[in-house]
Amino acid sequence: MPTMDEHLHILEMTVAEVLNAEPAASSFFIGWHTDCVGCRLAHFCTLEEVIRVYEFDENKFMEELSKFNLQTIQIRRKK
Amino acid sequence: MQILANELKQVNVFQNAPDDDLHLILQNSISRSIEEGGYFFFQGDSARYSYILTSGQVKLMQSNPKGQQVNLRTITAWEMFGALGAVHADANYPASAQTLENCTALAVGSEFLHSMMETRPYLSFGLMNLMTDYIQEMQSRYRELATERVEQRVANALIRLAGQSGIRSKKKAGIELSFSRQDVAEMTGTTLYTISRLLSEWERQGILKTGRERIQILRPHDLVKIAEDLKK
Repeated sequence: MPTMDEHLHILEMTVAEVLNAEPAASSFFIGWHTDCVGCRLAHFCTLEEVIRVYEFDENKFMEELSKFNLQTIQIRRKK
Repeated sequence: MQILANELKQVNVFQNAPDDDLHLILQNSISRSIEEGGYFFFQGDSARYSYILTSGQVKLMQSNPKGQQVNLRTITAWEMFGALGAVHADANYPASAQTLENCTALAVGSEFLHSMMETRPYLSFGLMNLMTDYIQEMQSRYRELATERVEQRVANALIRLAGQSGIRSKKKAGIELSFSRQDVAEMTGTTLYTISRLLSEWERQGILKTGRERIQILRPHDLVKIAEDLKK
């Protein structure tokens, strides 16, 4: 499970950052019925915005996303 | 501003170029600085140089004999433009290149680039990629013009501009575009009146904010919804 701090950092990641780091996450966005995959503004939209716009349950969304190990990407980004 | 050869790797056309070639290109280019509102070249000029923008933003626009203009594309740093002369000897620029801010670009002789292309397939492929990108964009815009409602066309134009040259200083801030209503009207083949009406309506809905020569997209997803005719 990500810590609170990591959770907030992940929320600030853009859809493009997530997909670049974890191409397999495209199935996640498709599974949640978003139009994020292939969107021309994916490098501007954060996960927080996706949750807000589609009115998703943040905890459920983040829990499912956690299987993609985005904390590691966050740590790599900080370095 | 001193440009280093390895910085040229940022140009898509040169991404597979060996270092020796990058040095050669640099040695055979001149640096040109143009103030905001000035021109690198005018439509109809002989295409003697191909340009690589190293700082600033440039808009490519074409006008008809009556003086009506159409914005074709916005060029940002490390993009190549005006490269027609490298492919067609004796070509003229089909559009004018006006700076949107103070700009610097490297001008490479078109004849020189042409001679390089004869022995360097990466350069030919790079330029083909650039041209196919242009063609695909034009095909999309033609389709939009022929089939889409004006709202969709304008939303698509703003999204395209955001993708090409939008800046988001902070993740929660809006996406900044340095374009006027007139620019958007020219890009979408519509009137200034229609653009003003639409942008005012979208501003009222909180989707964007407009200012002098600038548009700030506040709710990108809502714009995508209009452009793609999405339900949610």
